[in-house]
Amino acid sequence: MRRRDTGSRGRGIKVLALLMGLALIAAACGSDDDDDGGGAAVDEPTETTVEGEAGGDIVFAVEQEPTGLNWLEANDNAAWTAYIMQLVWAMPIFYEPDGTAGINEDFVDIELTGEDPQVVTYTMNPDAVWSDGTAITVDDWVYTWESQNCTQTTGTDPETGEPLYAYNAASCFGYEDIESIEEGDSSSEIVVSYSSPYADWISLFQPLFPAHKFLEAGNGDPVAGFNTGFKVETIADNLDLVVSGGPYIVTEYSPGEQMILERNEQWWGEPPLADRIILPFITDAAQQPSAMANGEIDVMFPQAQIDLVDQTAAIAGVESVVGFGTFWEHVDMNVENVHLGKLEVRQAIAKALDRDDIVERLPAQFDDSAEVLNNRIFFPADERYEANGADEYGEQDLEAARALLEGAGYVDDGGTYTHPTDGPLNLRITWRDPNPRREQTAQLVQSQLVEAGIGIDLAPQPDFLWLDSGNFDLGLFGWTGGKVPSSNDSIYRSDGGQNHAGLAIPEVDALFDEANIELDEETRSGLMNEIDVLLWEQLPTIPLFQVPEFLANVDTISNVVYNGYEGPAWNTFAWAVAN
Amino acid sequence: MLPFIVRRLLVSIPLVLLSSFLVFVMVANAGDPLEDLRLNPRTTEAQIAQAERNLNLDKPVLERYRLWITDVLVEGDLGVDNKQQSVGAQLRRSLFVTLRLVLAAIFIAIVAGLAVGVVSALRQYSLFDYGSTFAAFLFFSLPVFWLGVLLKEFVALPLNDALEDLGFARFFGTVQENTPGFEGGFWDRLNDTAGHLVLPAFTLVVISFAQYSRYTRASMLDTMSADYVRTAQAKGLSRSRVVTRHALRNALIPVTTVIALDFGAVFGGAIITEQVFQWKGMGTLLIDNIRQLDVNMVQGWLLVTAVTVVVFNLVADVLYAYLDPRIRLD
Repeated sequence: MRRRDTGSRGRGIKVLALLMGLALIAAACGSDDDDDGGGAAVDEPTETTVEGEAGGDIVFAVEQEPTGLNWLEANDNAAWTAYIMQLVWAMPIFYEPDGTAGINEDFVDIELTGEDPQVVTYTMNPDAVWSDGTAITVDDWVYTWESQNCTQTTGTDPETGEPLYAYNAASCFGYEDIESIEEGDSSSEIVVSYSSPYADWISLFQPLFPAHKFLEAGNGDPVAGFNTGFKVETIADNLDLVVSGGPYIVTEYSPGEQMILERNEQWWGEPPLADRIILPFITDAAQQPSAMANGEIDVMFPQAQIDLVDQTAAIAGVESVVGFGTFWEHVDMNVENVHLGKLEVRQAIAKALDRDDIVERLPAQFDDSAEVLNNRIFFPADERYEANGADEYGEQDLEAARALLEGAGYVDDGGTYTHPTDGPLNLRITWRDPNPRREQTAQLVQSQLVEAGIGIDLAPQPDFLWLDSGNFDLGLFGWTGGKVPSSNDSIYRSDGGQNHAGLAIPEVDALFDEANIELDEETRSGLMNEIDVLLWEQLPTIPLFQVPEFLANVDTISNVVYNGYEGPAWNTFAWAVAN
Repeated sequence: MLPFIVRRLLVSIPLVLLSSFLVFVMVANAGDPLEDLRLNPRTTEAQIAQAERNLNLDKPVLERYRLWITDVLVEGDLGVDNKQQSVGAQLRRSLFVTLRLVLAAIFIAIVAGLAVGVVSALRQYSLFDYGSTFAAFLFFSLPVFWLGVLLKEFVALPLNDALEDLGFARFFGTVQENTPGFEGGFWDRLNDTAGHLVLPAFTLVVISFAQYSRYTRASMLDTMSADYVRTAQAKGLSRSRVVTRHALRNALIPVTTVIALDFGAVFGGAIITEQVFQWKGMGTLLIDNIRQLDVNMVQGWLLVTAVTVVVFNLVADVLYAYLDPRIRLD
């Protein structure tokens, strides 16, 4: 059993009481807290009071055990797998807490060396090698590209008529626009040439795959290596396959129990501080706080729940932060519905909603920096964020809502509006049940819209099949966004695969065509915001709020920094243990 | 006896098959296992269609069940789960974890339950008897999840703090079977394993202990009032000899069968205990895969558990007949 270096609970309670007393005095004298709003960023470390040093182990509880280490394979595309493996496989970039892409300068320099045609040059550190001594070469870049460019097919899908791709990649965005990858002037220089521009080019090659190990994992078949070569059962007894191009290497993998990362001695960059990162699979978030109180784990990133946050806050010697990540909630309005097909009705709904109240009752319960989301593409922490929906729909305006409905021909028929030809304005709100947060959101939406004369029936479903089939009026669910703005294309483009609202806006399509190939970031941000402005004018969806996230650590671990874009492990190499 | 055993096994087969069918239909209709894939805006329709085909979601439930049961009966293949991982491998792993927990818990429950039951019977209406009766009913009433959490909060943490204050290492673990990243020799590992086993085993023990102690007490009272026991006492045999050589063996007969039945039931996964203490055994496997709507995994769990229950039920009956020659199994 590891010793916990912080004081006993008895001493902790006395210190807490003293601090509370001081806090009360300070509150009486001090000014209001500075509220700079929420966002997918907290760029200050949790308030560690000690400085860590090199050495020691850090135990980081993992809430979702990987099913396979290749998280770019569609079946194994899990966030926690990415959190872990980003410390192992070579990562040319990482996303900062403010959503900007930061280059991993220990590994590579990246330069956009051509715009028409688009050419990106990666200059690797000449010392860059995989942990088995194999040099990182153009072969690795080519394999990473070919496995995700959706060109190699095995036939055609009999149902959809779409091609069946050999590599079961989670996404092909961007890679399909690359024409070639070649060595430049030296073996360390990689030149990536595009056949058509791709604006989110910086997000690619995250991670870079060790091609030789994927080939080995597939017994010589690169496709098998990608699709099944890094499954849990294969890897557990073959850790040699998991070579590292990062600060840590996997030295133990016990399925169902834990994974252990140790310092990669071949890592050519700044060495990580901790000797080992131990990753026990504690998949029930409710058990993590007691484990932390007992000194069994040092860092945790469980799903944010009010009780869990409160329980953790009461543990002596633990620091925590609530941040707002890239998963955000919204309401989709199905324009196939006879009422929602009218713009005035959608506008009336947006006017009738009190999103401030929803935020206050839900995410603000975790942290009062939660704010209403007024942009579908960027988050408040991102400097590209513009609150495009704030002016028109920032506050509830029931009178305006009623005026819109009456202007569209609706008549108040004893509390609920009715259209002479389309009937009573009764809508269903649907969400995937069980989900207490969404249930509460739906109930709030119902109570608010009823005040504007819009009848709402609660219609939860046990799955998400209603989205694809269009069997909903108002749909309540979430998207993950932030890192790759071009991925919004399929959600808002007229014939987009994820355009569940079904609203066709040709101007939005044209703007996406322009934005997705615009390589100047400032111009592109402007185009994306123009898209959002149009979406606010036409209202296929109404953004609500970002979902809170919770990160906690014992105060003897320093440099734990919340990053809503990259996940909790993004700077694990900088975590240090205080002696 | 052999015809009896064969008959029981033959009757059990359709029972297990029926259970597997009912569970398959329920889980298959409980929701959509591909919802994560559908919600990813970068997933193509072809990928979703391919995933549906891989999981046979494009076929009717009856057809899916037929395919599954054919693979199981003909090839002995439990298939793969929603993530294309072997069901058999995961079951083996989880089985071993649960066995360790359940065996330890049942062993402790047997020893403690029998001892308390016997003493309670011999000292009927004494303070000990009243105390053990009260404890048994209290333990029967305790919800397992509540007990587990209480043990962590009010036993493990304070005791560990006290040990640390006295200069010792913390002993009681609250999650998993060993300290994460544990490094140490054989005795250190044994100590660490014991520290992590105590609380979950105790959580499992209390209900079994209550059950065994009450059964033992009742059976012992019954036996002690039998004519042959009174005869033995009248013949001048010492009380200890009467109890141990004459009464106890016969009193244990019904208790043995209860234990055999209990083992089968508990083996299905001390679901709540494993969740609370994060032991990745059969219970956690079931909960996680019900949540993920993984039909193949749930079916695999069901088969293992159903066979275990059937076998141990049969063992209970056979044991009863073996220990009590008055019983004939036809």
